[in-house]
Amino acid sequence: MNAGTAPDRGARDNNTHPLLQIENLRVHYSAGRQKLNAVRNLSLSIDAGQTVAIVGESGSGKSSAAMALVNGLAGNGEWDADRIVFKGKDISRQELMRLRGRAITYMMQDPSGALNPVLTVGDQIKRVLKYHTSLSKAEREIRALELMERVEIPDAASRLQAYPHEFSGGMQQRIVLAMALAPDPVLLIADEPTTGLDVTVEAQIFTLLARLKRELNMSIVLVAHDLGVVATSADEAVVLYAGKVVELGSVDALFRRPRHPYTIGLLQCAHDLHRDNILNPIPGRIPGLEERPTGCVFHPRCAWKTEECESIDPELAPLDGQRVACIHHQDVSAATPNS
Amino acid sequence: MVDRTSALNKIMSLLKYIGRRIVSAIPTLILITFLSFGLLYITPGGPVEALAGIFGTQEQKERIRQELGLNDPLHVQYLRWVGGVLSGDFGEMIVMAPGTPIAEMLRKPLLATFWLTIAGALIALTLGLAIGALSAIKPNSWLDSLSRVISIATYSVPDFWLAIILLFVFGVIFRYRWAISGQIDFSRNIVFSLQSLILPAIALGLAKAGIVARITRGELFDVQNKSFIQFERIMGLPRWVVIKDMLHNGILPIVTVLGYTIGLIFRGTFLVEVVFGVPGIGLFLVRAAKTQEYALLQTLVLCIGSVFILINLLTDILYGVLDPRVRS
Ligand SMILES: Nc1ncnc2c1ncn2[C@@H]1O[C@H](COP(=O)(O)OP(=O)(O)OP(=O)(O)O)[C@@H](O)[C@H]1O
Ligand code: SF4
Ligand SMILES: [Mg+2]
Repeated sequence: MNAGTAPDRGARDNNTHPLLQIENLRVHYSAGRQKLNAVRNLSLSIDAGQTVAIVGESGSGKSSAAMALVNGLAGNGEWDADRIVFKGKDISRQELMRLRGRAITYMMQDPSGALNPVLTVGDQIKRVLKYHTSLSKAEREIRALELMERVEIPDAASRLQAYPHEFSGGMQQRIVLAMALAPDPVLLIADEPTTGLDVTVEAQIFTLLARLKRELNMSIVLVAHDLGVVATSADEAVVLYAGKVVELGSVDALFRRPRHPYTIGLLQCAHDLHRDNILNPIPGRIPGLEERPTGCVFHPRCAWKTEECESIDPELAPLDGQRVACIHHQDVSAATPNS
Repeated sequence: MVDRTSALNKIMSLLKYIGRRIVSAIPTLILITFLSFGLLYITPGGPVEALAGIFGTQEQKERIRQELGLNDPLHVQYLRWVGGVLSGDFGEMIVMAPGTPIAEMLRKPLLATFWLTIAGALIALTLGLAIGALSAIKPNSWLDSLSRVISIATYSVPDFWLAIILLFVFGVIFRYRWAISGQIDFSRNIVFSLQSLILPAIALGLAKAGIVARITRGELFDVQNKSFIQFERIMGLPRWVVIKDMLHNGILPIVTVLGYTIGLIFRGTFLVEVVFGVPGIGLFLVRAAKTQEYALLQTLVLCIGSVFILINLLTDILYGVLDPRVRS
């Protein structure tokens, strides 16, 4: 990679600290006078070179959490965290914000809408290079071409002058990826990067992401609702339900031994899908922001629910390297065989 | 080097697009020539009676028909007329100022209407864009509410009504000397022309500023939440770059209504001219219709139609310059 483009590269191989740690991230949206919590106390720790997945159904607050990290929330959104640690150093929210577009970049959930329709893709890539690297104009030209080739756009040289609408959805997402890689980031946040793309294209994008991650030795926060994707791409996963982390741990452990009734439900769902069975989703749906229940947020849909669950909001408690927020996790574990 | 080829590509595709737009305007133009030419045959009496008088003898009428070539087959007459138009010969006046070429007759009123349309459009656009942008920046603020009320109020009243009110307020109450306008002829007297222009232009512009403001507000507000704007922001691009992109994309839908709005203003000038007594197309149209000045009517219909085609063509071209998606 080009040495002139890596201002924050120094500690990449330093394994003593996680790359980025967030403690108790909270996101809320204001609606009229109300403040609605979209994410409550989410903690993340991302090691260098690792992929951490944020998993959950639609509406669970995944994008809200991911967007908060790059200060990209909608106008009515606000966020806050108890502590932010980047490469072992406590930093403020402002300092985190200064990393965006440089050390931390983002891939949008919506590939067809993420590119500016009135500029050529080459100009859009070069613009990122212009503001976030010290490359000269001629060097930017070369680097933009390199990036297009890196994300495997066929006929890259002439395609630099094409406009976004002249590309398919999968190709557009590759260009978004090229833009996100342009400043040579140490952390890439990929928010459901294959939404709206068909299965083969989806597989290609994930293969590409995995390869690039290895080659560039970056970390990835992968937002996903599909556990199959998580199983193949991520090292750690955080399971989010209605803005709350209900379980987290290594992907191996989570898949081998899910502890939370919600995670168990999600996995079952994924298995059934895999075997082409009748879809067996968890009954009920995720509550909207203004209708979040008291006690355990999952209780209206939980098969293990007792009276306690309606009043006590369980803490995220450590359990053999995993962490789980369920009052009855012992009973649940006892009744659920290892898979 | 790549920059230059990409600029060249852009210009080439733009030229092709403009060519296509011009070609596709031709059928409409031909249709309009049919309509204006046909006027001759649907106006009662027609040129023969206008020339010979209602009491003209049969022989007199026949001689006139012969002279005007009205006995030739229709397509010959049409082609002769088109040929004349193409070489700048629109025929002659018969009743109002016998013998005067139409082209000479229409030069001044056309210019007056042109300036009136431009001035009205400028007022509508600057006012509309400014109010719309201000309310998009602070949605639901008092300014936004005020602009909504003003917008709805102005676009629900017709321009000639506004013209009458302005005439009453400035002419009757304040006794403003220029309330009744005169010639708008910038080659003669600039100050006088500007003074004659001001009230009618305000009436025209104000009536359309409201709709421009509402559309501007909506578009600029929507574009803030577009994914690509959000992406640019979280990629840490400078604020002014993001704002520039918001304006560029937000203006596109406004351009589509631009042609339509200017067309409405152009049409609005006819009545507003009559109210203020501006000797423009509007006054001429009324007189031409009254006196059955057929060649004048034909030319006016042709001119008005062509102006609409031209306005549409120009906005299409502007759109093509701004949006690569319509070029390809
Ligand atoms: N700007 C906003 N104002 C109010 N509520 C919002 C806003 N953005 C998101 N929400 C709400 O916050 C909750 C979480 O939304 P978010 O987009 O983070 O979910 P998600 O997990 O990313 O879902 P998806 O898989 O559909 O992308 C949802 O209930 C959503 O309706
Ligand atoms: S706390 Fe109760 S309701 Fe919540 S997941 Fe555990 S058993 Fe279900
Ligand atoms: Mg999302």
